[in-house]
Amino acid sequence: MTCMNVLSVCVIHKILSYLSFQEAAKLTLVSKTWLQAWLAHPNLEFAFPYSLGDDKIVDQVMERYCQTKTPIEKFQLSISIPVFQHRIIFPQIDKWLRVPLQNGVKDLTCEVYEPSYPFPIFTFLTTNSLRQLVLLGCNLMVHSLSTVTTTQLASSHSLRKLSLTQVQLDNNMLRDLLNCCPLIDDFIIEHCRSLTNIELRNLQNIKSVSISCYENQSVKIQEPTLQHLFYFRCCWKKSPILDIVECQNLIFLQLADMWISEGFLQHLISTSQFLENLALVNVSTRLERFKICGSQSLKLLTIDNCNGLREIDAPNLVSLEYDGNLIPQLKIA
Amino acid sequence: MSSSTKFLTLKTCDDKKFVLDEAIAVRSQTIKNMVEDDCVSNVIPLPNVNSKTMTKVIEYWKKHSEEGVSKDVLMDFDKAFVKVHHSILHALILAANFLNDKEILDMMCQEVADRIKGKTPEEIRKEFDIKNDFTPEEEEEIRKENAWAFE
Repeated sequence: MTCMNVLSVCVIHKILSYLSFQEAAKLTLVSKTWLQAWLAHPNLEFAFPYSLGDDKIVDQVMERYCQTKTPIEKFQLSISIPVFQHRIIFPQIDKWLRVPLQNGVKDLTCEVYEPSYPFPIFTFLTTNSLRQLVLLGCNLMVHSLSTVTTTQLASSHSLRKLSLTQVQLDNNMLRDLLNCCPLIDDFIIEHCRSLTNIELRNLQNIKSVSISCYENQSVKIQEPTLQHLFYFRCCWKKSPILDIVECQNLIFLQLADMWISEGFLQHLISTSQFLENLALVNVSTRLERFKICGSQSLKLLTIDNCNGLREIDAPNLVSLEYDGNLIPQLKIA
Repeated sequence: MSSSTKFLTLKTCDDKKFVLDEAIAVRSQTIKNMVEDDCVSNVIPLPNVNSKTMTKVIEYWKKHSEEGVSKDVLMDFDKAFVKVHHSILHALILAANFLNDKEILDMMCQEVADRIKGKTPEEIRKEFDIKNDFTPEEEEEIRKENAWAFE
């Protein structure tokens, strides 16, 4: 009586979204309804080490979406390119990316490492459909804002999440980029070597920030709406160039792999009256002693390998996870 | 239960009636909208849902509305809940879709996807009793066009 023959295309799309793109493509042979559903599948995901012939598959699929104007919600491209083939492949990627751009993509991930693909960032920021942009290994310096005419000047009010990992961009580019997406609530920046200065301010809706940086990079965050901050510094040698000001709404803070001054932590705690969850991993001071004290709001505390922590005084603490050689003095109510 | 508890009567397509606490019934966005828009008279007809399926849905709603149930208990309940014959799975998807209950719909679609993973198209048809409505020529053509998916 009832069987899967009568499922609506809409429901099948939901089922397809739980499968990999290839697994979903196999369903084309199941029945006509499933074929129809797959042909209009709004999530496209291409992940492969590049080899000859793969580009034909992507070409074929993108061509179809282009001609039928089938809406695309999610588009993910992650490929690794053999040396010296980028001259052939980059123009193809340009061509493929134009289709999700035209078909109203909401969530786009582009992962192309070494040589890193010159992603046309400002073209994407002129659309008002994009909500989430994740770039890994792309190069943003080729299409800098100066090459865009003012009429094209991008400003994306739809973008909510921006994530940049091992992306090539400089300080000016980062500033221009953040100016173009003022409403993001989630920002991730990891291992972007050519930056020396990461400065976040005037992001009026920002809730969560995650930064992984190198020793030569200085970071300044001035964001009153910020609630979650993850900060990883991949270097032990130098003192912090992390400046957190006016982040009075922090709820969750994680610091890892860095030196701090005692005053730094005390100042943060005293100005963050809502801080509930603090995690310190491999955090130390030159003075060899520091303390966490006086926070009324702190509930969860995680300390992992932090030399020099001598005293914890948090009256409302609910949970403490501690891993280290010396047990600090604990004062709780 | 307080005296202010409001009850709704749901009538399935096979004319069975279910009397349910409104607070539980509004887990269905469809019913919730009807209540909020004041479109609810005495009985809410559910023309797309049969009583057997509705019994399952209500079982889920009640379990997930109970107070003080641990996450582990709920997880075990959910696990057992989806282990049903594909015809029931299918009926539940249609019901969840009609009732607009995202939680049940997501869970059921995930289960269908789990049952699809690793199977050939023939095995999938068999698993879900789906009729192959392609001609051999059509089938051959699709196979050729998407050869990469069948490697």
